[in-house]
Amino acid sequence: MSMAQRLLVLACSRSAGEALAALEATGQTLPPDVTWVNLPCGGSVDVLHILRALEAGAEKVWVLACYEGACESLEGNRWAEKRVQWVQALLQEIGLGPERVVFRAISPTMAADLKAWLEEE
Amino acid sequence: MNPMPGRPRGVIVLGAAPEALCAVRELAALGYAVAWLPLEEAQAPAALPPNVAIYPAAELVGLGGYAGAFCAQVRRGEAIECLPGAAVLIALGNARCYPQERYGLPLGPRVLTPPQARQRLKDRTLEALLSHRKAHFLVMLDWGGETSRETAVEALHTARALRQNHAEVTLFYRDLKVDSAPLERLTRRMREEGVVFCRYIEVEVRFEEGGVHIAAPDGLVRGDMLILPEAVQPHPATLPLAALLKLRVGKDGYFQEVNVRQVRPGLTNRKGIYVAGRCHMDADREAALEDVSHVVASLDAFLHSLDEPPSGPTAEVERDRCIRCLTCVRTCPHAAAEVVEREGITAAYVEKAACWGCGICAAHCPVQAIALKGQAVPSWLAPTAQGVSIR
Ligand code: SF4
Ligand code: SF4
Repeated sequence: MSMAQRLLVLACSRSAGEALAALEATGQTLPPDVTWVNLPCGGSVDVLHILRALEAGAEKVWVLACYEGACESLEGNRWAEKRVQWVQALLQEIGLGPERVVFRAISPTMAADLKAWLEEE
Repeated sequence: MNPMPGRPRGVIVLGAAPEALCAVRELAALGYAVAWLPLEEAQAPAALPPNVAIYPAAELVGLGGYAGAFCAQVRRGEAIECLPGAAVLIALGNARCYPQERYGLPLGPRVLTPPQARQRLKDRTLEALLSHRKAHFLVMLDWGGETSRETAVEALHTARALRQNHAEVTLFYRDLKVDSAPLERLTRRMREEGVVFCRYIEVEVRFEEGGVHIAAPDGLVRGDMLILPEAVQPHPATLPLAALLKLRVGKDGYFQEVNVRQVRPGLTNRKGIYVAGRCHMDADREAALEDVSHVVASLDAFLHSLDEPPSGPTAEVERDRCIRCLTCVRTCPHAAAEVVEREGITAAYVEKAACWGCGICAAHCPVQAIALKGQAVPSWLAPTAQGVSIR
């Protein structure tokens, strides 16, 4: 896969996925240079997923998962955040910008926030 | 699938709280065969529906199986018996104590808990005080910390009963949430009947010759007796049962419900296992029984869903690649992964019926032996099989 993408989103389908669905229900679509991958839970975000995305050419990777205390699998969101931090430390170490990987907490009702984040980016 | 076609599914109910009896009745009315294990000394109710079997002296030693096909392992005398059930409902209730440290006051002739006061009303040992025209009871909520909902409502009922026995009653409170219709009715009636409600921020309680003095914002209130509500705490069987059934307990020591989206009341971290009433919430009796109805409905919906083909991803282990490190067993929040011997291989195995498809195990497995079936991740993103884990 060669990918000249601006942004890859690894999304917990239970929160971010729902927010995107709500956004799309209002007729909006993702910008063409954004790739969105729904995962069942933030906890299934693997360090390797993030690294593969960077390897494939993504400029930025977002990991979106539930707020603290809102994960149906109890600590999936915490695992997601930890993995992001791990990759950030790695990027720092090898001299790439750690800001290329971002963790954000989101809830299913945050379609408007999601839209704003995408516009800001 | 229904393990016994043509026969009703079974539900295992654990606990002896009033909520348990209520759940047993509601489940039986829905047509489920109920196996009821009170797990403690309890008076068996006189009449139970015919589809309820009660095991009063049974000791639960384990829970085998998975959602849709559990098996409560019960010691009866020498033998271990297996009671089947498609789902489990836990209604332990909670425990009570008099929080002497919080109040800094021991119980005594002038300090009673609401149950003690009710008992004395009943056996008429308060008569001496009550015949005295000005007998004045001071009921104090939220002193030294918020009073639990359950015992606060009990104190309100006690205050009302004392008032109905012609005593003067002043009720001190700091934060009384009148957030339900029954509670609104109760407090309105109490006011009408002459209970004095007094809100405070800080109070000082002194015992003086012949009485209790409370220095409140509106001045000094003098009474004969102080009524202090009890505190609630988790039922002592909560932790052992949680350990036995691999259930999560919150920081507060109560069972933790996983009902993030508010659509599956009472669901625990394990599929098919539900908690109801005061073993997972602070509630007065009415609210606790209402919770039971919600949880029974949610459990009923789950049992109906067993008839549908399963949907959503589930984890599947490539068993000959598993190195038996137990990482998935440790990290699965839903107790769906175990290491077992099957078809001659000892390796991790995920029971589909118990799996929530969260993928936490897959992201943790050091040799990428777990894949989420039914979850399409773009192939370029997959942590490829040949790859060596960099963690
Ligand atoms: S984490 Fe992977 S290797 Fe370890 S026991 Fe589970 S499946 Fe086997
Ligand atoms: S996907 Fe893995 S971690 Fe999640 S419930 Fe299933 S077995 Fe457990």
